[in-house]
Amino acid sequence: MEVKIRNRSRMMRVVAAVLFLGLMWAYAQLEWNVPQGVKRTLVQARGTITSSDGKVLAQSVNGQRTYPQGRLAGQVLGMMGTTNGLEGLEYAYDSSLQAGKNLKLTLNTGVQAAAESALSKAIPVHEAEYGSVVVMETRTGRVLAAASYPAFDPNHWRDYPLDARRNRPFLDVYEPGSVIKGLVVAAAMNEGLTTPKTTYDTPMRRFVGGRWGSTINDAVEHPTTLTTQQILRYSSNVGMSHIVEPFKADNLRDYLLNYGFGRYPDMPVVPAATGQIQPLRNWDDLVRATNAFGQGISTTTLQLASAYNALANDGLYLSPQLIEGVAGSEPAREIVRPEIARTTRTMLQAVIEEGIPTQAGVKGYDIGGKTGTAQVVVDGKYSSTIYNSVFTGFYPVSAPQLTIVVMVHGAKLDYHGSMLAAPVFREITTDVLSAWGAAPRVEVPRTTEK
Amino acid sequence: MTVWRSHFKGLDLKSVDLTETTWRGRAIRYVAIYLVLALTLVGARYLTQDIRPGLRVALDREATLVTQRNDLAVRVQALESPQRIREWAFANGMVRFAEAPKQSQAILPLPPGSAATPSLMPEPRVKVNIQWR
Repeated sequence: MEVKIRNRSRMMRVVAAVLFLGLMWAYAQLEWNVPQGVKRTLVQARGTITSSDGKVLAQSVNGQRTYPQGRLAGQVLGMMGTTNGLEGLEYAYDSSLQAGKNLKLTLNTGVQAAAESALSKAIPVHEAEYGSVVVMETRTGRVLAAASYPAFDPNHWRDYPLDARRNRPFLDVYEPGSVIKGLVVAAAMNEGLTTPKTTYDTPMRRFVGGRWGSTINDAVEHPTTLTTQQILRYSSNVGMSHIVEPFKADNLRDYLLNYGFGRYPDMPVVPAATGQIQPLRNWDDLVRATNAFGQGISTTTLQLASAYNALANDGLYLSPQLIEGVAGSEPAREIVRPEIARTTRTMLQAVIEEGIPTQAGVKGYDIGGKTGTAQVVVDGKYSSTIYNSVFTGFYPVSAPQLTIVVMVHGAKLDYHGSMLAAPVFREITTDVLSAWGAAPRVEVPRTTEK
Repeated sequence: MTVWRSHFKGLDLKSVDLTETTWRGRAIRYVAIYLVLALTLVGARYLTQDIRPGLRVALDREATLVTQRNDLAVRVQALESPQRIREWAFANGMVRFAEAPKQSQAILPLPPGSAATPSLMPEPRVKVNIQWR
């Protein structure tokens, strides 16, 4: 009897050991590598991601996820782990893609390639750290390009550092600097507080804000009196402080909120940052003045593009759209009247044609835009060595079809907006105009008649 | 039921041929038929013995070709990426349209005496008269 019990006990121990080992094996499979059959089926059934011009950006081939365009829009697409999306759209639309649904983006591979090429050409030359570009279709708010530098190839995502995977135009937050002046001037004109020809006393520096105030400086030499038009042309901070003086703080803040700053862009599922606008209780004279030239407020390149797109779109703000057929729930809103938007665009055209025709302009084409060179806050203080070089522009001025924003961070050589971001803008615009075969402005014809 | 019964009603075992000779003849015939059938089947299998392995090889080859096609499709997409085309164009000295020098020229009037030149527009051949009622 005793022997029988002992045998049974041994047998149960063996069975228990086998079961335990089986459990261990199954766990190890899940932890290190999902059984190959399951993995292959999951990957193979995953939906395809295509661009608006029909190029395949991500697809499953022979049980593997591949990105045929390589580095093109790599940060937007993100990448896939063993069975699930880890970052970017692969992560944001994971369940939908897993269900076999295809995703069509608004990105155009030609425009995206132009933006990425322009960044990758300029940034190493200027010894900058990183950069981002957004190109929007003005009338619809569709994002045609969202480029980041350094480049990232999702086919070999393990070879890249974490920073390279960052979808910078949607996630990087920075102070916009002088590019915001165009938007603030439009708001002030919309409120009847200024006109293009209103004149202001503009010394090179001015103390603003009473007891808790500070001195505002201008960087570009200019006459001691400037019109609003010239304030944009010379990018005068002092001039901007005059323009916003009659602006009520809550009203100006509301304009900035309406332009889309300090709130999530209405793009379902896609991860994006909000940036910041200071709470109304902080808005004294100094904050109002500094906000008017882009300090004390932060934004992403996408938000800046959407805000300028409103100016380009006759004052009508449209939420940016990245996925075809997936529009935001917010209706379009009018921020400034159409005639004010048109006037501002003409003023911004003069900024290029009178100030930086060779850096930002393309001969024969009507382009408007604004430069910005923003100091970067390091350890709570504005750094005197690290700058963001920014440019916002649109084409053509009379009825824009494209809105482009360029941002480059941390350039060591020629970091001014006009020297770095503007030429990048010019490069992208030239590429897109060439691809479209856009007709240049008709010059007075040279006749051969005698 | 009644029909079935009536069918066997007249069956008389004495009238059925149950002799050994008859049974032997039947057995030989059936065995011969079975042998012919078996031979036919074996023959058919012998003649078609290559089909199954051939099918397997074809299936394997199809799978390989599908894989190759998919890989090539991906390679084609990678090769025709706008970035590569752009780089190739610049490397071959091409100039973008927006940067290319452009000239416009006035369209001059025709020189005198060219009025006799036949019109490029064809003469109308169909006349339509409309009457309002």
